[in-house]
Amino acid sequence: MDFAKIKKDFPIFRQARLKKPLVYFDSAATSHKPQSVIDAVVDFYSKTNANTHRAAYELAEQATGKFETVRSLIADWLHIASPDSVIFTKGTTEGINLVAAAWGRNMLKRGDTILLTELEHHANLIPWQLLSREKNLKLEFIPIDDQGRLNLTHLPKLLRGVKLVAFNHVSNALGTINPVQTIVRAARKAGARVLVDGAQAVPHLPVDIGRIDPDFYVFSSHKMLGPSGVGVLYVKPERFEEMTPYQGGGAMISEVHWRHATYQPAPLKFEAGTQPMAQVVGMGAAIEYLQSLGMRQVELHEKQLIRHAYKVFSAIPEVTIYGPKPVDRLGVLTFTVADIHAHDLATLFDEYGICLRAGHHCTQPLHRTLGVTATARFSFYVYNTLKEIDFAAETLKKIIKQWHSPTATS
Amino acid sequence: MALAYSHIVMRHSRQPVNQGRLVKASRKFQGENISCGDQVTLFVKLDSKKKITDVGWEGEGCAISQASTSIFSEMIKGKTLAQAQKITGETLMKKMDTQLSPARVKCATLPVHTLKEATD
Repeated sequence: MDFAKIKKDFPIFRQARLKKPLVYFDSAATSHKPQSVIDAVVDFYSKTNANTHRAAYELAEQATGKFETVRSLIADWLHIASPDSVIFTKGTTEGINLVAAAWGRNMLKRGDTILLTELEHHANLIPWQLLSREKNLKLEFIPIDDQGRLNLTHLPKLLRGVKLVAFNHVSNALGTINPVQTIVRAARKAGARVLVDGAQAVPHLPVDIGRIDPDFYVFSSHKMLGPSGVGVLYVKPERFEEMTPYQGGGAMISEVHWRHATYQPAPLKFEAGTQPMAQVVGMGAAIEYLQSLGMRQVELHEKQLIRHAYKVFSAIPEVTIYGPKPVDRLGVLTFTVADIHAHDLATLFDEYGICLRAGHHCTQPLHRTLGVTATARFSFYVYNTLKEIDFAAETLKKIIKQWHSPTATS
Repeated sequence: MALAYSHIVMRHSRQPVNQGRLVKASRKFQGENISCGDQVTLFVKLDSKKKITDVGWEGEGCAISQASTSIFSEMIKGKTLAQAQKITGETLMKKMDTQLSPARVKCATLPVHTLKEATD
């Protein structure tokens, strides 16, 4: 696969209004969309638009068919035994909230412990804080080592009495790739259920949910070249009987009376109301695009980018990099620059057409652990190149020089 | 360099004025941009007519928020507290000679909001 040519598939990089080439290093926040994804969305509205799972006319059947094909595609792609385990959500955040509300509220009791990690995104922290307030649960955290990797030395002890372990597969803030298999196995041995937040994993490396065998696995479409507003929650079949409905409404019911109702089996039971149909179809096109690249190739490409970025930015004396060595991380480079605040860096890089994130990246407690209030973050994806990384490094050297030069201003 | 970082912003960023805590402050005002972590504490000394006779400040954050606080501290000295609280973000940014994206306007206006809203 020639990753150098990928940019041409993404219309955002070809806009006439761009004064300089767009160097987009914020894919951990959201990714850009290839033409095929945009076309799939437009195509759905132009040719197949009708509400799914409701009407008996042909157009609605076509819409339902397109929608359900994506469910099967996701199951095949991630090695999930049955498409019925695939629930569509608004995204990773809703997936976690769904598990907290439909499973956690039903199955967790006063005094139970949920084990999280110090790497968690707010999306995998706040839903558990809310539930723990409501049900009087305890929250514990797997600590990180000085390289931002999970310290699993005391995992068996930490797992004692734990009912649920919820952690990210890959850290959005540091790019750390967590030993998902090891944690799932240990959790299972301790009798705990497991939720894996795969928002930063599914877009970037081959994921085999069948092999990982978690109880719940969540991710978003918009971070993997697909449309925003849709995501996936995988549920292990055995967990369904432990879950009450999340939202009530159309499509999730079987028989409705004034004072009671029966529900559809999963997955429809958890998909109340009209679904983001065009977005689901667009997500299907995103998966096909990623399949055409090959997820192993995507991972190798990002590994190459992060190795290079780590090397060239480590060589700049003013730069401090946070998180693990390239071998343990995906395409995320989190750093600070001496005497230049991360927010100033973001503004200064923007002048050169380079987009990066500055702040706490939805991980305030982690930043407190790291001892910094704000960091700058580059996050890479399929359309990024080694050349762009070199350009960013040269740009940073220029920025540092100008910042310290007594005469340099606008 | 970016239009955000004007001569005056860079000057105050490198050599801030009135920086430091006022030991005998009459009032102390604390402000923070929760989303980005910028913090500012303003100390003012008032005379019997509520006129600001001395200003001090402490802060942590980006160059824009720290320079804007330094510039703001110069602007409010000699005014009454009520007059100082009437200074708008636009006035301050005009003084700063800066062009900021909407996301960063809140960095510049932090001291303005601090003096208006957060009181000890």
